[in-house]
Amino acid sequence: MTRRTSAVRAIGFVLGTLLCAALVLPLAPQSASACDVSYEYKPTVDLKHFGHTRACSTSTSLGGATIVAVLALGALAAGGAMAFKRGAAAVGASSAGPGPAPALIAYLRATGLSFPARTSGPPPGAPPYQPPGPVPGRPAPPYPPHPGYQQPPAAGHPGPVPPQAPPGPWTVPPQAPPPGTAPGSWSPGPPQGPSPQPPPPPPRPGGEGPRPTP
Amino acid sequence: MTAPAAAEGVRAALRDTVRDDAAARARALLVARLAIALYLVELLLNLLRPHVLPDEPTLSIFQKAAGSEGSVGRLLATPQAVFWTLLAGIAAGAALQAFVLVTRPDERRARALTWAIIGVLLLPFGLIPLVVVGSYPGQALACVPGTAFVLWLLHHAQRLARIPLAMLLVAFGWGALIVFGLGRAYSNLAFGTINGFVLKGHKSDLAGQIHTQYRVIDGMLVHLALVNALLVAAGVVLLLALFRHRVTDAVTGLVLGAAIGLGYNLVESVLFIRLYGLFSAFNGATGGFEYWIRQSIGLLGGQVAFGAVLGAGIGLAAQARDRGRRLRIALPALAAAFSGAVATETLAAWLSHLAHDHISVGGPLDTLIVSPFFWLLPQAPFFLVAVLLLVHGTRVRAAAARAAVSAETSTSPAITPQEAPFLVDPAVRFWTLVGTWRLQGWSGMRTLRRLQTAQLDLAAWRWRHPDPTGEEGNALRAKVMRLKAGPVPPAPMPPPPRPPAPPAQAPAPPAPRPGEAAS
Repeated sequence: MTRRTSAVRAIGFVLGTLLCAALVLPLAPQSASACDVSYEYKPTVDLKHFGHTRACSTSTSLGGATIVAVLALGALAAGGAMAFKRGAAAVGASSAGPGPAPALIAYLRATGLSFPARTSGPPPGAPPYQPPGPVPGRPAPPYPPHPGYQQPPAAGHPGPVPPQAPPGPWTVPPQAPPPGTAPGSWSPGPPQGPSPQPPPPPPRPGGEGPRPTP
Repeated sequence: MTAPAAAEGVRAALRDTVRDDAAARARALLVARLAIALYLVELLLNLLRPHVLPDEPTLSIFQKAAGSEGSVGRLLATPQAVFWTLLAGIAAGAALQAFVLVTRPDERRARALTWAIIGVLLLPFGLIPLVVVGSYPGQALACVPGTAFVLWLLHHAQRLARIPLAMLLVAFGWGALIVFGLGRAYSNLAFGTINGFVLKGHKSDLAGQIHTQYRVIDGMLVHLALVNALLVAAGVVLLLALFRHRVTDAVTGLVLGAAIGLGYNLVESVLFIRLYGLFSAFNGATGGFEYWIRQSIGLLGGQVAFGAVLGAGIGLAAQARDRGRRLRIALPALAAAFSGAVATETLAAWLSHLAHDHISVGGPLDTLIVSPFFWLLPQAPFFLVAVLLLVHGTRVRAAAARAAVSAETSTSPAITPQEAPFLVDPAVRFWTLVGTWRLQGWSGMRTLRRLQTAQLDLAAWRWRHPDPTGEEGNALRAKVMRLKAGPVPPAPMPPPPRPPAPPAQAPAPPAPRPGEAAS
């Protein structure tokens, strides 16, 4: 189902609901008016209508609030489903079929994340699939340390090799590895001489300020 | 985690989020002083008002309403409590400022004293909304789900460079406590003042007196709309100055203004749900009807929409370098918010009055269609403008995200070229999160989400700093790399200490054989 078809169907559903409501509500001929909402709705002292005023009842109002809540949550769910399908289409993954998409596996490998071991089973409905994760106890380095790295092309995504990045002055604060453990997936680059620092940018108007280093 | 450790964690998070420098504190102090000055002006005008009744008190807020007991009596007595508490607060604030001037404390103590001064000046006004919410907790709880949903929408509608959640919540609190409290404190005094000047020397029959009272209400509503708009603007300006955030643009201001309006709307809704239902015989409204209008179908309208338009204008004005240009952008936004509030009250009531003249009130059609239509019609243009500003602003941010992520891929391995396409598209990001949840469960999804959030934070920094060098940028890259590396495994237990070796001993002489003498 294309995105346009889904949007047309959703709009048709909403309009149809409104039309049905508009047809059902005036079952008996009744006059239209308005209940007071706020300060400027000043009541008029009208003896002709005094004592014959019906209130906009709580039960009807709460019924309307329930309808709005259901529509809002439904719109949110529909939006989420459309976003999911759009995302899958953008990466060329099929939302049907068992097992995770190769594009997702390639992306997770590119992030280099090592996920903790699952203590519980897979969520309901998920296929029992174990991706080839890193070796337990030692996160797998997806790429050599900075600087001057060459990115291996991921599976299915033969992206361009990035140009040689100039050695940056930024490093993770060196942490002495605990004794007996293997080195982590990224380590600071080799010691370099101080590189010339550009002058700090002038302060920007509008209240933007730098955040302190985490 | 122990309580002191948790408290220290909260303090550290606050230090990271709040800009506690002298300029920010000076701006906050200025807002507090202006608020007090305006309250004193209202007091002065109230003191100078003509007295209509022979035994009127000096200040109209001390007028006792006949038959007011229970929660209504408590509400009517709150402005007096605010008056006395504020007097004490002004005295305490003056004493603290004198103490600072005389003793010249160090930076840390001066910072704490400044925040204490701001607190004693502004917090008394929070009494009014606290009494409202505390008097009607059931109604307040009923308003929480819708309000929380809109806050969630505001938080996620920003795409790149979201403001900190604490900033959003403080904006909500500003609307609920300060805008509502200050607005009601000013308007209670203004009502007495306008009443005195309008009714001065006015003698007419009952219908004429009622008509005149309606004019007083009109004047008070214009005053309330103006005060609310000014306080929302002050809140947006103050929050932009106090909180650290990546980007100041229309989306930032829009989200802050909408959150402030949402806080105001919560407290006002509680009041209307409780009080308007008491007058059903006259106005046809019930508590449930007010909930339907203000917390359901009209939740995104009213002060939320007006605050969004005003905040977006202030956010745009903050980007201008020229002071004149800033005023030319901010003042129309202020006028829009003010006129929207006045127009909603006036036009909606006028349309309802037109319908009233011909027919009776009540029924499902009136409740579900006609009444909301009259109320929402004047607000619709402001809501549309807010939506257009949000859509345009998020598109600008999306384009900036693509450029910043692309630039960062050639700078560091924090964002690789393989990750970039998954990062810049919100739909693809959502797809990766859902897919990771299916593979690795909630913990895996949270791990990936933390990484993506850190990478987008880096991209937001890069958007505002085209030069990739910089201490903050390096710190953000290091944070991303730490998240990619995962947690450091715990150090193995050290081996138990070996007992000391016994001292070396000389070998014992062999035992003598039988018959041999020992040598």
